[in-house]
Amino acid sequence: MSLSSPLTTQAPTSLKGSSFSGVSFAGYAFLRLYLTADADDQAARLTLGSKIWDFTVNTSDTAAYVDIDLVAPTNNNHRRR
Amino acid sequence: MTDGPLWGVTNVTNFVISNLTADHVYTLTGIELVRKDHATATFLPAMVRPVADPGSTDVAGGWVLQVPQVTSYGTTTTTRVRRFLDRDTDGRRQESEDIVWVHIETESGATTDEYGFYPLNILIGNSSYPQDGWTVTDFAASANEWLSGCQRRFSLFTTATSTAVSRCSMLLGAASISTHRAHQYAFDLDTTSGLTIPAQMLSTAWTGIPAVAMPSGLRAGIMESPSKCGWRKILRNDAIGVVIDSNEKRLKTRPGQS
Repeated sequence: MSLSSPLTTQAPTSLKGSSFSGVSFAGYAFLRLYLTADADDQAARLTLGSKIWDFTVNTSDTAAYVDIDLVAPTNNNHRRR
Repeated sequence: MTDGPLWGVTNVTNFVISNLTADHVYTLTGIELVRKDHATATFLPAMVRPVADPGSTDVAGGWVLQVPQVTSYGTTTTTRVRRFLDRDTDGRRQESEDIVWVHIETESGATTDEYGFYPLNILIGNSSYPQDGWTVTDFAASANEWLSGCQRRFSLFTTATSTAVSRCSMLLGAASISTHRAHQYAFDLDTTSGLTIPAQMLSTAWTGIPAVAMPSGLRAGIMESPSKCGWRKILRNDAIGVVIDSNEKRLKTRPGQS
């Protein structure tokens, strides 16, 4: 997994450098990222192969995680919680 | 087996989180794959398949000849099979259980029908049966409260008996599928104690139930007794609720039901 700065220093060691290459997420509608920011509505992008999801991240007081709709079309700018 | 709607991302070539706003701190503590409420179980999935003549006694609808017909010493045995339960717990719809129908006709014309399948109480009670992502809970008591004019309620959880109506009730009884926070109610069947339902209903009448629900009478001649009856889709999504009411009283509905 590749993380862009400043996230590289805020992710647990177990996730840094973890490899998802070749993994199938089939059977799961959502990828739940326990990703928070120090302010609400901060931009972020997830890329899985050729699929892109732009979404916003909030503080942990607002939402502890973001659900990415894996079944949705790419770059849907859509977040489901 | 076919690809289901949750087939989704099947081969991750890269996993990148980027486009983060400068001068802000993001914290990632974990990643999970979740299904939410998308695991499903579908009973009698072929029931909604339209047939040319729902009232026909032609048993071909929904039933497939399992083995060639066998005749021995004047007794002919015909074995048919049809789908009973589909599961979709891993993004692909899987056929989980079939019903086997063995029709035996002797030289004198006497007939015997035997049905073989595993009712849900057996499936749930068997710890080795795959239940990943879904559970089944009997909400029969709740379902019964929604209905009026019901003299008797059967459940998917009842044990097989020798009467035809009980066999039907196990196929069409009340149950719900619980997936995380959501419940999908499946079937409910109510009838009078004196009503008998011929086995052919499994292959003819029920397959004629349209997906869009409006109260409607089943065709005369399907029932062995002259009872009036009606059906109604009382459930959400693709689940079909069936009610046979000999009094043909109007059914109670709840908000959100069609």
